[in-house]
Formats: sequence, C-alpha cells, structure tokens
Amino acid sequence: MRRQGLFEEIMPLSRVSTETQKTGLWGSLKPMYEEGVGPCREACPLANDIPLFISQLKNGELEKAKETILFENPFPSICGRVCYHPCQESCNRRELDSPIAVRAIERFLGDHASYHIPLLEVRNPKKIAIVGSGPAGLSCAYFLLRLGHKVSIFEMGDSLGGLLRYGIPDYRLPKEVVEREIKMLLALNPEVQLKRKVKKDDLFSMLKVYDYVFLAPGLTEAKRIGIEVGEKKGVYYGLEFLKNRSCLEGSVKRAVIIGGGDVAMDAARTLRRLRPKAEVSIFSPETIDSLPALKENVEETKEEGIDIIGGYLPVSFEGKKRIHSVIFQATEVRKSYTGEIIFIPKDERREEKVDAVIICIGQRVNHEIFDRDLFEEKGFLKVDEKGRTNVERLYGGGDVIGQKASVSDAIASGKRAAIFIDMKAKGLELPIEELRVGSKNSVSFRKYVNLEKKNLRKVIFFPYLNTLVIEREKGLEIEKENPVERIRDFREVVRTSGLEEVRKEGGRCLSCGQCKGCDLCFYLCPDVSVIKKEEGLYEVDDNYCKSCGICAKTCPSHIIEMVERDGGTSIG
Amino acid sequence: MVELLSGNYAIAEAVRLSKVDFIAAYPITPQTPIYEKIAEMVSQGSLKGEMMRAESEHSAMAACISASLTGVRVFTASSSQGIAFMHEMLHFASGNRVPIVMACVNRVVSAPWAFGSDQTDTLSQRDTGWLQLYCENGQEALDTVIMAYRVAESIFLPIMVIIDGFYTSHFIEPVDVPREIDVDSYLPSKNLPNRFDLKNPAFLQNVVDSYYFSEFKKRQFEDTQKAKDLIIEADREFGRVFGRSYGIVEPFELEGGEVGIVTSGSITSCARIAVEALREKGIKAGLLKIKLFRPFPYEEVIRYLRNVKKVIVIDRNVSCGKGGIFCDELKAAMYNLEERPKVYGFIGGLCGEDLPPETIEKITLYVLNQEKPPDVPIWIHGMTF
Amino acid sequence: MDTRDDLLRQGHYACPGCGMAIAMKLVLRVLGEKTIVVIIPSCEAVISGTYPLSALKVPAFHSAFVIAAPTAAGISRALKIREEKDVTVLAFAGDGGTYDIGLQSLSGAAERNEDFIYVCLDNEAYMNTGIQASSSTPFCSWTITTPKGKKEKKKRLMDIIVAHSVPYAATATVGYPEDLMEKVKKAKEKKGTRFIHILSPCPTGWRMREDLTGIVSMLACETKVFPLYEVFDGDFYRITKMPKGLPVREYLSIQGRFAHLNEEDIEEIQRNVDKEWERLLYLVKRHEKA
Repeated sequence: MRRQGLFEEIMPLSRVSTETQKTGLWGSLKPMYEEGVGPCREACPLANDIPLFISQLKNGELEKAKETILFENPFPSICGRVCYHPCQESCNRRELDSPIAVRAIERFLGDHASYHIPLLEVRNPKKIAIVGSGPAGLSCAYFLLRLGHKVSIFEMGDSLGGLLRYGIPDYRLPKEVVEREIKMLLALNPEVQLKRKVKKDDLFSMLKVYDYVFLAPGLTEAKRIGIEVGEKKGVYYGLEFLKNRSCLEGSVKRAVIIGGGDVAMDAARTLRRLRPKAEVSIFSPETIDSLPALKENVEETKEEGIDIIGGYLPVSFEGKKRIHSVIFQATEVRKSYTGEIIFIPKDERREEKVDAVIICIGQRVNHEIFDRDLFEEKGFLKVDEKGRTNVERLYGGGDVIGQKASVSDAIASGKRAAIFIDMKAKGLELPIEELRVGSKNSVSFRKYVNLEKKNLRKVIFFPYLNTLVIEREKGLEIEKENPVERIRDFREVVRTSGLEEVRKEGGRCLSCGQCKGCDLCFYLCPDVSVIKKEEGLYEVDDNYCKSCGICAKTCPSHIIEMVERDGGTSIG
Repeated sequence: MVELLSGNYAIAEAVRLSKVDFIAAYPITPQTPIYEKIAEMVSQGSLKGEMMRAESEHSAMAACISASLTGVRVFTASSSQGIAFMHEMLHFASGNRVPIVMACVNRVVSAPWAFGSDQTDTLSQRDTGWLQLYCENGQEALDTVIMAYRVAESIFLPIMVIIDGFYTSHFIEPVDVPREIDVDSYLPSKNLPNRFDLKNPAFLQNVVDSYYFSEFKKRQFEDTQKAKDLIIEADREFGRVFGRSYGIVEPFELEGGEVGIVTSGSITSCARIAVEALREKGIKAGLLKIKLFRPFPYEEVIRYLRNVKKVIVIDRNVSCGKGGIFCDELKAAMYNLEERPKVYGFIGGLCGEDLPPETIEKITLYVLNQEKPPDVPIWIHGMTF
Repeated sequence: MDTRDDLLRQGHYACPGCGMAIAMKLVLRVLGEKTIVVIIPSCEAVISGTYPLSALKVPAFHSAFVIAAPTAAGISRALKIREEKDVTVLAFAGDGGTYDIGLQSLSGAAERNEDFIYVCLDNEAYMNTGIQASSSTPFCSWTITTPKGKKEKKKRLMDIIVAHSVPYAATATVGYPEDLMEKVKKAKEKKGTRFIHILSPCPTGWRMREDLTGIVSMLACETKVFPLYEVFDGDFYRITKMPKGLPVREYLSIQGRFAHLNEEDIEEIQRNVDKEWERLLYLVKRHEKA
C-alpha cells in the first residue's frame, strides 16, 4: 500500500490549475496602455519629446537621445543656452520640489552626443527657397532637407545664422556653438547664397523658379523710441550695438540701457565688458518681477554689478551734441483687455546723468523688402496657422510674423512651414490638430513622419500622477563662471553640466505620460494578468483580468485607462 | 533482555527501538517520564531523532502531523487535559491519514481536579478516527508501540497505545526489552514518502465539496475496518519473532461460562485473580479482555460472549448522560443477535479508586442474584454488599 | 528578463483588487520553486483554490487555523531529518490566525527559533468570515462586530515578535513591492524564525474602491500609520522607507470603514500615529544598526 498514487485516493491532493477558471469574465473594463505627453512637451514650442530623451539619456543611450531631439529641434546646443524653457515652467515636478533642468540636459546632449541624420528619399523632390538664415529660415531648411527636398538659402549677410550670430553675445551663445550646429545643417547639402538681399520684386520671380518660398527675413530695424533723439552722439540702438560693438565711441562713465528684454540685458552686459570702469544701469518700464527677459539673464546681469530699475519710461533725452542726461517718468505697465500693452504715467520723475544710452525696445519690419499687401495692420507678415501668406506657395515664419520673438518659437515656425509645404507637395490634407501637442500650438515632426507612438492629445497634468512613489530630491545646480572674472572678456558664463550630473537630474524626471518600466502595474496586479514582454512593454491577459483598476490608479505616469472591453459582459 | 522498567519507560524503550525520527510533546502528569526519557535518549544519542519542546499539546500534534506528511516517523504522548486540548488535531490527523503513534497515559479529565487513572480521556476521543489499543501492563505497551508502527505505516492511520496512568505508567515490573536487530527485522524499513513533492507539486488537503468529503471519509472508514486484520497479522508476526502475542481480545476461561467479566487495561490483572477465585468457589466465571477498541472488534466480542448467560462490564470511565463507554459499545455490538446475554454495566475505579479482586468477586456474586440488568450502569463506588 | 514566471496562478477567486493576492504573488516570486507553503483557513485558502484546483505552483498544505507556525516547524524539522536541503518552508497566516488564535503557537515556534518564514497577511479583520474585528483591527475602524468603531488600538504585533529575538522581522506593504521583495529575499537568506508582516488592504472589508489598493497601502506608509522597517535579532531596528509625513486624514478619507469619524477622532488618531512614530524612532536610535 505504499505507492505514491495511493495518497490521491486517501486525501485531497489538488493539481489542476485554477487557470481553468476564466475570471476575466467578472468585469467588463480592461486596462488600456496608452502613452501620452507631459505638460513640458505641450508647452515646448518645438513639441520636443522631453521625457523620452531624458529616459534615453538615463539609460546611457546618448545617440538615441540626440536622435529624439533632432526630430523636433535642429539646434539643441543653441536652445540649450538661450531658450526661455516654458517646459520647466510647466514641469509637473515643480509641484514636488523643483522642475527638471531640461534646458541644461538638452545643452549637454547638444554638446556631447552625436547622431547621423538620415534623409528621406523622395521621388519628386521640390525646390524651395528660404529667405533669411536666422533660426526660422535654417529650421525650415533643415526639415525640408530631411523630407528629401532641394533647398536654397538666401542670406543678405556674409554668414548664416541671423540673430544667432549677432543678436546674442558670446558669453551666452558662443559663435563656435552656432558654427557647429549650422555645419551639421550644411552637411545635409542645401544650396547657400550669401550676400543676397532679396527685394520686393525678387519674390515674384523666385516664385516662378522655385516651387515654394519661405520668408523669414526677421525684424531688421530697431523700433524707434517716441522721443526726440536728434543728432546727439552716445545714443545707440540695442541690436545694432550688439551686431557692431565697435560703434561704441569714446569712454563711458555712466550708461543707461532702456528696456527690459534680453536685448537690454545683453546690451548692458556687453557694455560692462567693453567699458569696465563704467557705471551701467538698466531702466525698464516693467517692474523687476515682470521683466520680459529670461530670468537667468536678469540674474547674471545683476551678478555683474548692473542695476536694474523697474517702473520707468524715458520722456526726454537732454544734451545737444552729446547726450548728457535722460529724464525718466515713473510708469505703470498694464495689458489692455485686447492684450495690448499700455503705459500709464505716474507723477514721479527722475533725471539720470549719462554719457551713453542704448535703446532696446524691440524691432520692426523692414518694409522695403516686401509688398505692403502681405502685411497686417500691426505691421507683421500675415500668415495663417499653416504658415501660409495670402500669396500662393509663399510661406512665412520667424519674428516677422509677429509671434513671440524667441529663438525656439522661430525654429518652430520654420518647422511648421516645412511640414505644410511638404504636405502640399504630396497633395496631403492633414488637419493641423493631428500634429498638435495637447491644446497648444506646437506641431510634432515626428508625428508627421509617422514615428510617434504617443497620444499627443493626452497631456498628463500633476493631479493625475501618483507621486507617492517619488522621494524629494535636490535639483541640478548650474555652474557659472565667477562674475568678477568673467566680465573681463566674452567667455561663456554658464558651463555645460557633466554626464553624471545630467543623468542624476534626468533621474528626477517623472516621465509624465511615458512608461518608465517601473513595473508597478506588473507587480501590483492581484490576478497575475499584467504580462511583461521582452521589449519592456506590458500586455494584459483579458482571460483573467477582473477590472479592479489598480494598475491604472497606481501608475505613476498615468498611462493606463480602464476602458470598456468590446462586447464585454459583467457577471453578477 | 529483561529490565525493571515502569510502563512509561517501557514505552520510551519502544520509541528508541522503533528508531522514531521526530517527537513533539508537552509534559503532563503522568506522561512526563516518557517525555523526559526521550529527551535523555536524544541528548545521549541513543535515539537519533529530533525532539521538539512544543508549547502545547495542540501544537505538538500539529507538528507531528506535518512532519509525518513530510515523510518521517513520528511519536508523541499525552494524558488527560492534554489529549482533550489536542482534540481538534486528532480529527485532523486521522483525516490527513498520517501514521502517528501516540502513547496515551489515562488520567482523569477535570473537573473536578484529580490525579488518578481514568479512561475517559482517550474514550472521549473515540470518534476522532484514531485506532485505539488498551494495554494491560508495561510489557504489552512496549510490544504494542512496535506493532503499532508496523500497522500505522501500512494503512496510514494514526494509533493510540493506551495504558492506565499511575498503575501501569509508574509501577516498575520486569520487562523484556527486545533486541534492536529483531525489531529492525520486524518493522518495515523507513521509507515514508514525502508527500510534498517538489517535482510534481500539489496542494494537499484543500477544501472539498460534500461529494468528495463523503468519498474520502468513506475510504477512511473502510480502511479503519481493514486495520483490524492488519493488527491481527502484526500481532501474530510479533508472536513469531518475539514469542509474545496478545490478540485483539483475550478470552480467559469463558467456555461454558455462566458469567463473563469484560475489562480493559490494568483492571484485567485483578479480574484474572477474581475469576480464578470464583472458579474455585464453583462459579463458572470467565474473563474477556478487550485490547482493540477502535476499530471495534464486533466479531470477536460476539464470538466469545454470545453463549455466556450474563456479562459484566467494568468501566473505568463514564459518559454522563449515558453510561460506561465499553459497556454501551458492547451492548450495541450484540444487539442484532437472536439470543444475547444479559449485560450488567458497572462504573468503578474512577480516578484510580481501588478495585481489588475481592470487589470484582463481590459484584459477580451480586449479578448472579439479579434477574434483569438495569439500563443505566451501577456505580461500584458506594455499593454495599 | 521577467515574463510571466509567477508561482501564483491566474484564475484564482480573490475579490477584484485583493491586496492579499498581491502579497502572496510577490512573496512566492522571490522564494522560488523550492518552497513548501502552509495555508490556513483565511481568504488565502479561498485564493489558493478548492479541490481539485490549486492556484499555487509549489507544494502546499491546508493546515488548521491555529497552527500555521507549528505546521511549518514540523515540515522544516522533517526536511532536515531527511537531509533535503535548500527548501524554504513558508507559512501564510492572516491577522486573525496570527494576532489572536494563532499567537500562542507562533510564540512557541519563535522561542524555539524554528526554521521557517512566517508571513502575516494583515487585512485588519476576519475577512474570510465576513469582516469581524480582530486584535489587528485599527482604532476607530468599523467592522460588523464593532459597528460604532473599534475602541481598542491595534495590537503591537511586531513588538511581540521582536521580543522573541527572532533573527529577522520586518513590516512591508504591497504598495512598495520592491521593498517587500527585498525583505523576503533577506529573510530567505537567513535561518531560524523569520517574520514578515505585510499590510494587505482589502477593498471589500475596508469599504473602499477596489482600484485603491496600491495607493492606500502607499499612504499607510507615507502617513506613518504603518511604517516600513526591519529588526535584526530582536534588537537592531532599521527603517527602510522614510515616510513623507502626510497627514493621517489622507489615509482615512479614502476608506469607508473610517467614514463615520469626526474631527476629534481624526485628531486623536493623528496623535496616536505621531506618538507611535516617535517611539519607533527611539527604538531605532537605541541600537543603531551599522
């Protein structure tokens, strides 16, 4: 009576698997995995897939990370130095401790990672002329070249780059960086014509020779201040001064910069470097807290011993042959209900004795280039949401169309036009919503070339995240050159962070909308129904999933939604 | 080799000779010397087994059950309150079909609190599915423990080997301790299988429905009945190897008897003397000792008692609300006979109260003068003759 | 890498959202195939399957309510006698089978340092029999036998176990699976009585939405209601996850069994939680583990 089989007869021995019980019939909802986007990507003018390149960096896949960025932005080293980082302002992590230093990470990848850009082969490449080689024009060229078209760039200056080359001083954007990134673009073989100024009539003949023309000449003239300057020496305009520093005459004891934007900051800091003994101040109508310039630029300006005084507008320049003082009036700046900026003068006035004034109140269009018909009342080039002007096959972008005057937004307008030019060339009619991220305006090139796997509509905001799993951590510290030393010359002020630093910072990224492979759904499924596939994807076994929804609720990045299963029945 | 041993120590020797692997027990008077002796044997190495100092009898039996399932030979011992405490586990053991041998040293179950021999502790557990063998003296206990392992590991049912507390457990008598080599040849070599098979895993003893419960319980019932033959065989083989045999009941001078006295345990020794004295006085009295109580030996009881006119059953136990347990089971066993003896149940010797041969003579004479037996037992305590 | 190699099978009958099923799955995942499991009457028995089914890919035994510990002890002793090495004996018990009826037998086994891993799957009441309070039920919690809220506090079970100087004792919860699995791994590498106390939320009994199991157990840790720590040899305490110190209200508000609480109750609970936390910190400091 000693056979093993005996025991089955005398006591319950169970070997049949419970897998015969299809508990998937208990519920009608099933988890659906769908990656979305973080608010960072929605805010980025270039729709950069930030969580993706950060996670690729974390995994040590530097080439892949660079590839991801180059899908949406040809100039990461440039943007990594000068972008106003709206991504950081909407980063979900700011609700926990501090936002991710995305810009520094992009800068690192721009400087230290490389990727060979593939070009598409098209049967019928079109010929497109790009007018202006600032960030908008170069961007449009880049994306059109990637799409396989033939591009000719027309630049009136003697080198490519536009504002990138002369509008931002070396201490913020070294010329070698600009050269390096433009060289990457030139490797894609556009035709380049330097010293070619395009005028009104040229446009129409261009339209005969080229299939499409993209206009991005920039705003080459400074806005004139509404007070009399006369022939006084010592009065300069911001961008002209930055472009040609040697126009600064004589020694300067006391200089005043008028304006609150980045050009004002840069003008002041440039002057500080050229005239170390001068006392330099910035007067801006905006209050100190609401200066339009980049916060980092403002901070660095202050570090360099430059005073910024807010709430003042100049009302007159005193002096005959040379300026000797400026009279300021206290002013309140408000936005009208139409969005216009209005200045409300207050009583106080003050006089500043100066021997140099630099006026940085913005730029305007040089109308000699194009027809008046192309322009709207405010004086900007009129384009629709696809970048089209009211002339067929003529597209526009950059500062000239009156959008936010930033490098990133300019690059974005170039990308947009390239996409819609290509669409037109192929006879496609995709609505722009298909390419947009969330409810904002940026369009994704990656989505356009069908390589985007995420649902761009699904923006994951902070309340959706499960942050219980996150530990508070200190963010990346950006290293800067010593302010006393750095003003001796135009050396770059901010250093590129090291690999370990950016990887550590990248570790703080919550990967909003992007699966981190944290395995919480896999470990927390009570019914062993989340299966982990080899490629790091997850799948749900419908035969056993009871629709409890723990996976969806616990996912830190909110990737899982419980949806009705087709033909689902619930039992009991 | 003959040694002077108490009943408890005789049992301990049997455990050693049976090469038990695992003992889990808890001390309780009058079982403690068994537990202590085993501890000594383990620490000296004469018993190469493991001993667990359980913190209660219930846990002791629990550990025995799971160890037995894992495929080792197990032993435990208890008395009185301890046996009562492990009641749940006794059902669990028999249902799990584990070949555990437990020495039970009968003692009163309180209340009231007292220390004396009384079979109510083991008899209260007669429904738990354990086989029960009542032994008269230390020699029989030693022999029965060894026999029990042979039977248990063959039929996979647990067995109680039962002795009277204090009378058998503590009295020192000459006991013939068998040779190890002979016990090795008598007991099967230990190859109890480990029911937790890592290569072919199963969930043991999980919940069944009423259909399968009946299937398994019916099988257990049938196997319990089959165990009787195995015990008879084991006893016969024991006689062949060691020269001592006990049977499952022992009839003594019952042929042509007017009256048969039925006893179990150590009372039997007094009853033997009483029967001889009665025979000398010319009364045809006989004795039936009941050793096997579970499974109940219907055949043998009927065979030896059917032609006796009057039967006296002496119970050193009581089930309040009914009567002496041996008596009631015996009556039930003979119920279907066309002609059956008159059965007189007596309750005596509770808590070891003295029950000498003279008293047994007196109640026999008393019974011979009675016409009809009462339905309820007669208490010897307080009887006047 | 990982695919579906769990030792708990699909198709078991746990309620949707069951924390105990998650705990069982994770523990078995770490311990591997050479494991013998003791199951006792509890939801775990229902999950593990009724005859002839089994939800466990390893050998298991359905023992009685009181005796998870001595059953496991008997198996591990027998394995040693049979010289079957490297087999882990695991006992699963609920809070009822550990804190109440099983406490004596667990204490006995722990004192003898019997060699097995004991996992208490704590859902804070007798849930299998229908939500009756146990001594693990927290202060103020509704159950069917404490309809106005339990007046007594939750028994300090870890203190009792630690008092036996067991080689390893730890608390864990399903919301932090890697912490839990790390602890099971540590337990596996030791010998003697190893104890893991897993808070296993029960949506049915805690009266909460079944998708909140992960979140509520994370909150239990972050609000310090159920801190995650381990104790070595009965003396050295180490906290494995520093709580964020969220207010206890966040934990209570998502559970229906605390829905009847008023402000005073919540404040009292907060005071109790803070006091227990201070006490734990003191125990950590008293003997800093290197």
